[in-house]
Amino acid sequence: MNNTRLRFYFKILAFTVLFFISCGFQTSFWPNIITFIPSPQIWLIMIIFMTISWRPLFTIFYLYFLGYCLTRFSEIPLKMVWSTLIVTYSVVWFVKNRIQLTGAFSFVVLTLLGSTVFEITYYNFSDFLEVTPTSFMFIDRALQILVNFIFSYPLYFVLNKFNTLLFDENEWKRSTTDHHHEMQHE
Amino acid sequence: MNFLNFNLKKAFILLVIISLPLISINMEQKTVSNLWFNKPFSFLAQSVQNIFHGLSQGVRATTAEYINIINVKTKNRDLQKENDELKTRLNLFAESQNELERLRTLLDFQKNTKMDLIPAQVIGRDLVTDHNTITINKGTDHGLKSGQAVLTVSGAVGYIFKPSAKSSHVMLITDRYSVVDALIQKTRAHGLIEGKTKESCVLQYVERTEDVKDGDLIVTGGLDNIFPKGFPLAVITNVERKTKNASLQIEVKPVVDANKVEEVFVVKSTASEDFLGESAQTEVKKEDEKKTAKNE
Repeated sequence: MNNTRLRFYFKILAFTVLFFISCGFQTSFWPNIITFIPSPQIWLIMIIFMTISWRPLFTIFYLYFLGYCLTRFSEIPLKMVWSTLIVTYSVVWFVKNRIQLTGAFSFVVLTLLGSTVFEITYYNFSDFLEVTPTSFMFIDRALQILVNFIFSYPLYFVLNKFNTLLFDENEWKRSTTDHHHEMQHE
Repeated sequence: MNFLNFNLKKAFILLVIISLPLISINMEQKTVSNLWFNKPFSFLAQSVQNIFHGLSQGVRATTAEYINIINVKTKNRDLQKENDELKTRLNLFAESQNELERLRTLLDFQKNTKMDLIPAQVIGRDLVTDHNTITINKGTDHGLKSGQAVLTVSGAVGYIFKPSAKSSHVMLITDRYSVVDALIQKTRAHGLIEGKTKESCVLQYVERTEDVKDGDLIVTGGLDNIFPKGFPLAVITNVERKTKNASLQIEVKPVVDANKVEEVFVVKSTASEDFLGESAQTEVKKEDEKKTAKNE
């Protein structure tokens, strides 16, 4: 196992641990300290970050795994998490490839979009897939989207630093291109 | 024949991506609560929640102390440091006394009831706005199992639905999946309480002829084999009498605000506890006798 691959595995492990920490923070820390506004969904912000900065195919399967992890913190059924996340991923990924924006501003805009898509998809899919569908709860959902939007700006710098520090995406691309060239020469 | 020139690998991957959510939908038909691979993830989740709960308790204590000190300083700038310290201690003492009183009430309740109760602390809330659940720090290791009632001294909170080794998820009565047998205390009319939003529920299947008013207390009916009969559940906030419906549209508010609950009791066994009491039961019997007499 070469160094690049080892670092990549470590990055995945670190992001999974960070994901668990963010879920724990949202369910057990924030509600005990601040009761008047909902906690930012850091796990969703992380997922949007991965959507825009990681390679698509791997990210989709990793998101399915993270979706399963989410069910350990909530009553949310697996079918709802997986179907909602794949739609959110697809929309964010599609829009990301069609806008000429980079950096924190683009991330904040895409988080706003991703959170909105997540809430809308959840509401509609719940109607379709669940025996007891969820309520519209406009104010709760709007507030949640707003909180995610506000917190996405500082979180972008944290996640970006964490992402590049552990394993740079360009290195990943470069290593796979090299491998591809080697295969062609052979 | 261009349409046959597709990349088989890509097509296969796409098929897997789409089929996983479909498989998960199919999986919901079966009971998969105790699969072996769930255990490490549940353990990790409960450990993270326990750590954050402990951390939040520490932060709360420190913040409360800090706020107290600031308040005392602004009010009594001319007082000496010793006095500040004494006041802060007095505040902390009052806080401890409040806690002592709260715990004494809980202890009294536990002593005086016939029910076998397990005290538990709330360590987490649900991750998404669409579900109303809480996580408590007791699990199957402490004798908890699915379907046991969770309550406080003032009223019912919910029931255990996903217990793991050291923690359990509690479905609150406000959750849309929750259904609890209920009884309007005054009229003895039976109905079912179903969750609606974070703060409200609906009482279903109560006949239109029943005399129901805002402010009436709803207690547990006891037919669901979860809650003991006659325990406070909710208060009626709105009654609608639609001419087309055979039953009333009743909106209720739970007596316990689950978002503020810190300690709860899990009912291990009800031991035939009936909170309606003998006097209330005699009244019910009298009412029944009157009704039968009228019918005759």
